[in-house]
Amino acid sequence: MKIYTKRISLITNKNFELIDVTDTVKRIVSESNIRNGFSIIFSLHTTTGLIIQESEEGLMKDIVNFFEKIVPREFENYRHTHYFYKDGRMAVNPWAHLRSILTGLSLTVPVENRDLLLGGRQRIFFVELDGPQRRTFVVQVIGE
Amino acid sequence: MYRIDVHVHPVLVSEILEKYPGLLEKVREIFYIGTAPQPIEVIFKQMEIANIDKVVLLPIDCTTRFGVELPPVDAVMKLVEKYPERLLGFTSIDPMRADAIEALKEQVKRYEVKGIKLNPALQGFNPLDKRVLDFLRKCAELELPVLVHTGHVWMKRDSLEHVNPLVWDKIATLVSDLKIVLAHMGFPWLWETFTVLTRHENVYADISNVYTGSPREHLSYILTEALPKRIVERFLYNKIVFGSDYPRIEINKMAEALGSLDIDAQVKDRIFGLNVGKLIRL
Repeated sequence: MKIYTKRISLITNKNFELIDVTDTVKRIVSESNIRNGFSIIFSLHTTTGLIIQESEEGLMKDIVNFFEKIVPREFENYRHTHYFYKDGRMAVNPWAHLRSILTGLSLTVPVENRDLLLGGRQRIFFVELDGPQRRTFVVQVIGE
Repeated sequence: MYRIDVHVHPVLVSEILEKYPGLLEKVREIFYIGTAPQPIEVIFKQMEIANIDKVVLLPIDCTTRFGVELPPVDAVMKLVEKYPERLLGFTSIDPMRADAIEALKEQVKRYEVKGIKLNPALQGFNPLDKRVLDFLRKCAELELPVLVHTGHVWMKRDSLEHVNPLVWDKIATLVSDLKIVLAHMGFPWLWETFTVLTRHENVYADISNVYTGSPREHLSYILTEALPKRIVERFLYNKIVFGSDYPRIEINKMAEALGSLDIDAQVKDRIFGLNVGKLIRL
């Protein structure tokens, strides 16, 4: 069994943003030379997410609106919003962490014939939940 | 009218840190910030979202107390020279340095210095010390505004002795032509800040950093509750300027919070830019 790991860094543009990374992940799978197995896509941040969804402009807006509604930015009972001695600053983004719990931080996608086995409408999105920032996610391909 | 953030610390700019091995550790230990370095492009993207045209970069010279500049003034000024459309550079000279005035003159000769950043708690000086007053007189002579830390300090290592905004009442009297910006509205000494601002034509305050909650919660507290909205709209409308304190808080979050406050729109315009125009030569 072979394991191929690659880190991808990107600079996000907005506070809440869905970035289609499918082609990047496909390229890594292809260069891994692993014909059959599976790939893990994993984000290294607790205020980001990874999802598989259809790439459609209206749906992108619906996803943003959905999160804004169910996890609002302002809520007087948030307990995370206090001074963090380890960071030397206030933590002001409980909403971003909570949204990250809902999106999840990793995906598993089968690999077949050195390509991702995705449905026709399925795309992989890196979700920025507290940007803009420089972010990193990992693609690990495992198989033979 | 430019919208300007007058309070950005370039301590975690990766382009600078990469040139100075060991600087990040000093930043962590002395400036006390734990978040990850980010490229300058991230600051530009935050400015874009916030509709902020220019930010003022504030290095801090801690030579006497810690033997280091955070980050080196030369590196900051070179970054400003590279991006003059978006960056304005303040210098910082430890006023307790024996060569402080000479160093200031040299900096002004070499770079387009827009002002001076001082922090009595971090740099460890008494603003009323004769050497500091001489330095401030030179700043006034060179028409350079001074942005000074006032208010709360989280680190026990740093003293609260010289950060009450009232300290600057005497300085504003002694050096009346010096333009002074009291950072952080002097929080929690907001009424002391009010007193100094309303007594001296050349004293201003910035709203940077958050101490009591989310950016919206904090700005709402200091600009509409602790100091009632009518005080800000009637007395301080021409005295307050916008600042974030990045990377202790993101520029876009502070700008969105100020924009959302229930205060007169014209007052918000003044805070975002018009008042800064009286302070900094653009």
